[in-house]
Order: sequence, then C-alpha cells, then structure tokens
Amino acid sequence: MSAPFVALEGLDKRFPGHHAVRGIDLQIAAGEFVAIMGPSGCGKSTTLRLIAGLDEPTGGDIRIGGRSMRGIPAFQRDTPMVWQSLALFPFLTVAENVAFPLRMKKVGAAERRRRALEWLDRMGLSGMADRDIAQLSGGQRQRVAIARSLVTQPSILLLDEPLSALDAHLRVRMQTELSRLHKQLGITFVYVTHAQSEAFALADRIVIMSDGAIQQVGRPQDVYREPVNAFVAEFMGMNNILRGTVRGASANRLAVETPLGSFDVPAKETRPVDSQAAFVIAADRIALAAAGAAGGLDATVIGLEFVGSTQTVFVETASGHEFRIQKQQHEIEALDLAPGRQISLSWEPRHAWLLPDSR
Amino acid sequence: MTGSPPPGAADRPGSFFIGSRSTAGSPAVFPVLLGLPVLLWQLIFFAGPLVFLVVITFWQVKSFRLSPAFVADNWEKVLTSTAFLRALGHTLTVAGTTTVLATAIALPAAYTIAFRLPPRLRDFAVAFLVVPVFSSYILRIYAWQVVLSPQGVINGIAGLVGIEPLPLLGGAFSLQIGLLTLTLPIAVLILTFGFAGVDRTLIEAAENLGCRRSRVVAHVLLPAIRPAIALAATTSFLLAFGDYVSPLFMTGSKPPTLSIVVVDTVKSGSQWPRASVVGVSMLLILVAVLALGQLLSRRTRLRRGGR
Amino acid sequence: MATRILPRLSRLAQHLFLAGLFVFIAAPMLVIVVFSFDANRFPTIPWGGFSLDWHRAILEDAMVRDAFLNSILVGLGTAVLSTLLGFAAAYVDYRWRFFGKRAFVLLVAIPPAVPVTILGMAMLAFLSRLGLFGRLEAVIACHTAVASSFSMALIRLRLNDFGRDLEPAAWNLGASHAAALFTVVVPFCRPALIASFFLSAAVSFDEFMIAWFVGGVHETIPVRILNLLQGQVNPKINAIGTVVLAVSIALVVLAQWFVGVRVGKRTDPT
Repeated sequence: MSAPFVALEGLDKRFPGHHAVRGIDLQIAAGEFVAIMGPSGCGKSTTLRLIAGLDEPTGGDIRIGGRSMRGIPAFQRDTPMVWQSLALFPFLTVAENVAFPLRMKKVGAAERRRRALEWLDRMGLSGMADRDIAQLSGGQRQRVAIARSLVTQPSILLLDEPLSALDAHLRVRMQTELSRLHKQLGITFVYVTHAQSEAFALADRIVIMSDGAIQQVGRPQDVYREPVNAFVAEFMGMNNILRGTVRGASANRLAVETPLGSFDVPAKETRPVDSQAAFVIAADRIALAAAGAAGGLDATVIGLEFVGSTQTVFVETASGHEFRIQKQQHEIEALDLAPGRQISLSWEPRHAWLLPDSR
Repeated sequence: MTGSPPPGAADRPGSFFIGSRSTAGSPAVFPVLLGLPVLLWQLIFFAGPLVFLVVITFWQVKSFRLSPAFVADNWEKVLTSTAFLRALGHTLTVAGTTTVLATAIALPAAYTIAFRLPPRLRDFAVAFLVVPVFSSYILRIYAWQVVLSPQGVINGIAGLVGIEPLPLLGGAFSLQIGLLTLTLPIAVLILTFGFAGVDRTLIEAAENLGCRRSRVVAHVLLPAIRPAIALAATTSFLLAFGDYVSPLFMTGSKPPTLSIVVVDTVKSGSQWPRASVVGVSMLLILVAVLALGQLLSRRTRLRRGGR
Repeated sequence: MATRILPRLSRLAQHLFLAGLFVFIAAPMLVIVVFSFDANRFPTIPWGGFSLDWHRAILEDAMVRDAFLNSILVGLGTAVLSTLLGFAAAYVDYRWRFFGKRAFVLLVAIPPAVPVTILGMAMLAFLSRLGLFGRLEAVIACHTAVASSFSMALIRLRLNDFGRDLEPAAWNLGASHAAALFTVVVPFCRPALIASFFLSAAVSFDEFMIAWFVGGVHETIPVRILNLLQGQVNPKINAIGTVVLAVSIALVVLAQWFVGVRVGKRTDPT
C-alpha cells in the first residue's frame, strides 16, 4: 500500500473499568471503503469516535493525511460522521441542518443556502428544504444526515451503524446509494456496522474487532473463506469448527483426529504431531447424501430454516456435534429433508480451512 | 430529582462526561465557567445568609449593638422560655392539622383528576392548580378576610336571611382556611402526578382479578403512590409551618406562631440573636420532618424490593 | 340495578367534591376582582354598584405606582438572572460528572423549601454586613437565588429530551464547544428558557417576605399590599389586587404555555 491516508498507530483507549481499544494498528488508503465489524462492545464505535476526536485516546496516535491528530479538537478535524441516531437538529429546517457545518465555517448565508440546496438536490430531496425534520420519513432523514456530513466536501466520511434504524427494504436502497456516493466522491469511507451483509456489499476491506483488539483485516471474501481464528470463523457465521489433535503431518497436509473421526486438512505450514488444531468447513461446502453413504458422516436433521431460495439445514451427529449446512433449495429437494431424518455429510478435503491460530 | 442523569446516560459508551471521559481538546474551563457563577451566587445569597444566621445565634447584644461572641446564652434563653415553647407547640399543632387536612382533601381530588377526568380537562385542571402555587397568596388571604369578617360576605348573606353574625374570623377555623389556601393546590398537584405515574396495567390486572374499585384503591393505588403522599404531606407541613401571612391576617397573631415570633423579634430591633435561634430551630425541625418524609417513602421501596 | 347506582353516585360525589375544591381555590381571586369594581368603601354584601373609582385611585397613588415600577424592575432582573443561572446549573448537571455535584445541584434546588420568613431575616442580616441592604439590586439577587431553582428544574427537564448525540454531532460538524452551546443547546432549550423567564418573573412578582426584609424603603407591590393590609381597611387593595392577579396569572399561564404541561402519557399523538 502507498502512504496510508488514515493510520491508527497503537491506538489505545481505557475507560474506568473498561479497556475499550487495546493498542490497535490499522492503515486505510485514500478512497478506500473500510468496514469495521464486531459484536457490540468490541470497541468499533469507540475507534470511530477516536478518529473523529469525540473521545481522547489514552495511548497511541491517529494520523490523517500524514498529520498527527493528537490534541486536535473534534471541531477542527473535518471528519464528519453519520450517526446511528442521525443526530439531526430538531429545531432547524432541513436546509439549515445541511448548512450547519458551513455556518460553523462562517460561509455567507446565500452561499450556504446554495450549497445546501445543491446537496439536497443530489440526495433526491428537492423541495424539502424548508420542512421540519419531524415532517420527513426515516429514509429522507437519513439522506439529510448524509448530505449534512458531505456538504463541506471532506476527504473522509465516518459512518456509525447508519442504516440500523431503517427497515430492510430501505436499508438495501441506502446501501446502493452509499456505494454510488463512494464511487462518485472517491473519498475514504470508514463504516462501523454489525451487519455482515452491509459490510460485504459495500467494503473494500473489512476489519473484525473483538474485545478492543483487531482480529483480522482483509477483503470480505478472504475473511469469510480464510478466518484467522475461531472467533472470526464464528463471527462470520455459517462456519463449522472442528477441533482435534494432529496425528500426522506431510507436505501441505495434516491428519487431524477429532471426536468425529480423522480428517485430512490442507495446511500452509506444518504442525508438530500431538499439537492441537482446529479447522473450519464452510456451511455451503458440505455435501448431503442419503444416510449410510460411503465415507460420509452420519447425522440426524434437527431443524430447517429458509431464507429466500437458500435453506439452512441443522444436523446433529450421534456424539452431539452440530453442523450447519447451507444449500440452494433445488439442490436438496431430492433428499426430502425433515427433522428426525437420517442423512450423511461429506466435504472435499481441500475445502477444510485450518485456522492459523488454532487455540 | 434533578440530580440524576437521564436513564441510559451512564451505560452508553458514547456519552461524554468529565471525570469518566473527555473529548479531544475539550476545555476543562467550560464547566467551571458555567458552574462557578451559579455556585458563587447561591453561596453568597443563599448559603451564606443561612450560615451567618447560625453564627449570630451565638453572638451577643451589648448596649443595643450586635457584637461577635461565642455564647450559648441565646439558645438557653429561648429554648427555656415558655413563650417560645408555647408558640412552638401551637405552630406544630397548626401545621400538623393542615398537613392532615390538606392530604385528606387532596387525595380524593387528585384521584378524580387523574382517573375520572378526560385528558383535556385533566390538563386544564393541572394548569389551573399551578396558577395559585406561583401567584397572589397574600391577596387570596386578604380575600378570605373579606369573606369571613364580621361585616364580610358570608355574614352579609347571613344577615339578609336574618342570621346573627358568626365569628368566622380570628380562630382555628379561619387559620386553617388560610393555610389550606396555601397548601391545597400544590398538594393536589403532587398527588395528581403521583396517581398519573401509576402503571395502569397494575390497576387493570387487579380489576381483572375481580378486585372492587375500593379495594384496588386501598391495596394497589395508595401503596403505589406512597412516595407522592409523603411528598405532599411534607410539602404541606413545610409551607404551613413557616407561613407568616395566614397567622397574621386570619388570627391577628393570637396566639403567635414561630414565624410571627421571628418577625416581631426582628422588627423590635435589638434581639437578632434570639430571633436567629428561633429561625434556626425552625430549620432544624423542618430538616427532621423532611428526613421523616424521606424515610416514609423509602421504607415502602425497601419493602417492595424484598418481596 | 342497585349495583349500578352506587358507583354512579360515587362518581357524582367525586366530581362534586372536585368542583367544591376548585371553587375554594378560585373564590378568593373572584372576590378580589368583583369587589374592585364595587362602589362601596367596605367590601361586603350587598354589592354597592359598579364603579371604576378604585382603579382610578391607584393610578393617582404615587406609592402604588412606585411599587409597581419596583416590582417590574425586580421581576425583570430576576427573570433574566434566574434563567441564566438556572440554565448554567441545569446544563452543568446534564453534561458533567464531578465530585460534589449533588451538593451543587442541591444548593440551587433547595432555596424554595426554606421558609421565606427565615430566609428573609437571614438575607437581611448577611447582606447588611456586606452593605447590600436596602437596594432593589439586593432584592433581585435574593429573588434570583430562590427562583433559579424553578428555572433549573424547567430547563433540566427539557434537557432530558436532548439527544445525547446532538452536541457531539455539532462538534463533529465544526462547532467549537462554545459555538455548539449557542447554536445547538440554547436553541433546543428555547421553550424552557422562555417558560423559565415568565415563571421566575411570577415568583419574584409574588414574593413579599424577602422583598420586605431586604428591600428597605424600596417597596415592591406585594410589600405595598402587605403594608396596606396592616393599616386601615383600604378599598384600593381590591383594585391593586385585580391588576396584580392579572399580571401574575398571565405570567404563570405564559410559562405553562411554553412548557406544555401534560399529565401522564398520551396515546394520541396530538
């Protein structure tokens, strides 16, 4: 990567009785769309607030455009944020809200109005300029909030779970809108969310955080297929984790003995015999066959879940290990699945992914 | 009440408080700049005078001049004087009576406002009650004087139908009329808000279980608003205990209440320390009553928590 | 059927009781207004006929005129200062956590709970030592110490509805702390600030013990009334009372108008 636009260097934030961000390092290129994900309380929102200067770090530094942000107050950073609560000013009209940052920059009234209207136009809100915020729908408010953040032409936009208050239909539309804006403006977007679908649809790279630390950074599909540890594998969902002991190692291959049997797992590095190992098989890479199929793992169907044309099958082996299998509807129709039915699972060894951090 | 942060403020990691967190470059002078004038103002014009009042209870009057000292003389003289003790007993009785009357009258009235009136009328009733809390007390007492006096409105009407003038003014009756004029509006308001704050599902649940309305009131409503009752009662007591106007105009200061004693002693000129002793004693009694009120409303909470 | 009649009677009794209470509270005010237009010298039944004499008389009474003027000055001063201090106190309470905060809030909240007789005496004793006694400024200062409690309560209540993100959002959009205070916090609190202005004016306009003790020769209108009442029966009092009533009721009603008093929660969005 060329010189990063935003660099977090050992960024650390302690609150009394709570270590929110534990010395993280992260580099974001100019124009990149980065999504920070993690369970609630993982430090993702605090990280965003630290970048915006709304919280003061207890250690480390933030550089934006090469400049250290240490001691620079929030209002001098030009790091506008779109808030989960939107934080629109209820006592100002739509246009006044959008013009607010310009007013703070002492831009003249006529010019403020002109630029606010321009942005409202751009966000499809023409004719709403003089309405009260209370008169707008949820989606319209969201657009006002975005327009207000972009009216000063910043080089970075921070978004803190901006779509979580919208219903599913609107969320998808706003996602498209954000993506379009990002491409048009070419500025850096840092997007905090707990919704995988948003991050996958929008981000160039995703950052997975847990307990104040970064677990993994990478392209969405890489993080999905090649999680570094059990936390990421579980957080990304739809991964089945198997744990066992290394019984044999050859070039690019480990034999791992698990309570369910011995499995072949591809490995980039070699591991000592008798060490612990964990590997994952993605839910969509497990094949199903009628019970008793040779080389298969017998299990009982315990539940089914439909999402559109995709079906998730929950099964349990005799020893009590649970698997999730994801298939297209048409792929499994022939199997005639129902809870209680016996089934056989299998996967190609090359689809097993050894967790680099196998704790 | 005003001291507690809004719910959810403390548990949000994004909130912003000095002491627990600070924003980058946030000036710590800000709270000082805003808070200091308030602090100084209240210290000079409220706390200072009260502290000074305590101080001069230990001062001496020498040849009609107040001079700093540290003697318990004034306390001894006042606390052992029968005039003071009689006034104290009278004031406590009067304020106690007002407290009981005000609470007893306000309870059914507040109940009717909270549960029987349609919303629009309920808001109007509250707005109506707020007005006398903040206005024209002295005038309303004067009006009662006009109504109750021997040549007043009531006796005027009585005279028209041939009834002898009634001695309405100048006794315990007129004094309570005056003090209820002072206490009833606020007592009804406090209890109305108490009733309005009760979870309606609680009442509906009790009624669904076959409870009669009177039993719902006794076993569900009254226990639920006990803190409001305690607040209404202590407020009534506080107002009646310290009032100067009703005793002055409704009974002609006979017998005197403690407030009358304070004002008379001050206006007579030289006996500031003794007036201060009376004033400080009154404050101590009020603190005790407030503490009692707190205790009464808290005990309910503890008991409810234990269930 | 008998079981139906009893609850109905009980409801009727409840409404009658409430009506009786309202009459008790309203009667004194009505008496003053009615007799201010009475031609008789002594207010009693029967009414002596309609007359504006007493209203005219107070216009010619210099002491009453001065008292009104003093009350207006004191009321205005108190309203402005109390709203400023009440806002500062409410905002400090809302925004920061610090050692001794409970004591700070209590110091502003508690003055109305102290009997004005004692407060007046204490203020007179203390302020005369500071050389502040006998001036309208002293009355304003003392009234402010009491009224700021109501101002703080009104504004603090409003701040409860102030979105936690609004102020940080303003900083984030380029507002300094001072700018955010004036462009976001103050505008948000505006209804409560206006209500506080009227209510503290009403509190000051109605207060007589502190004004009596601290004001010295400068009488406010309730002090004038108090002094008139202690003298001979004076039919002017009804006329003064009518004007005072009109002013203070208007102030309190205006204050309520701006905060929008509501009992309990409403199901309908109006």
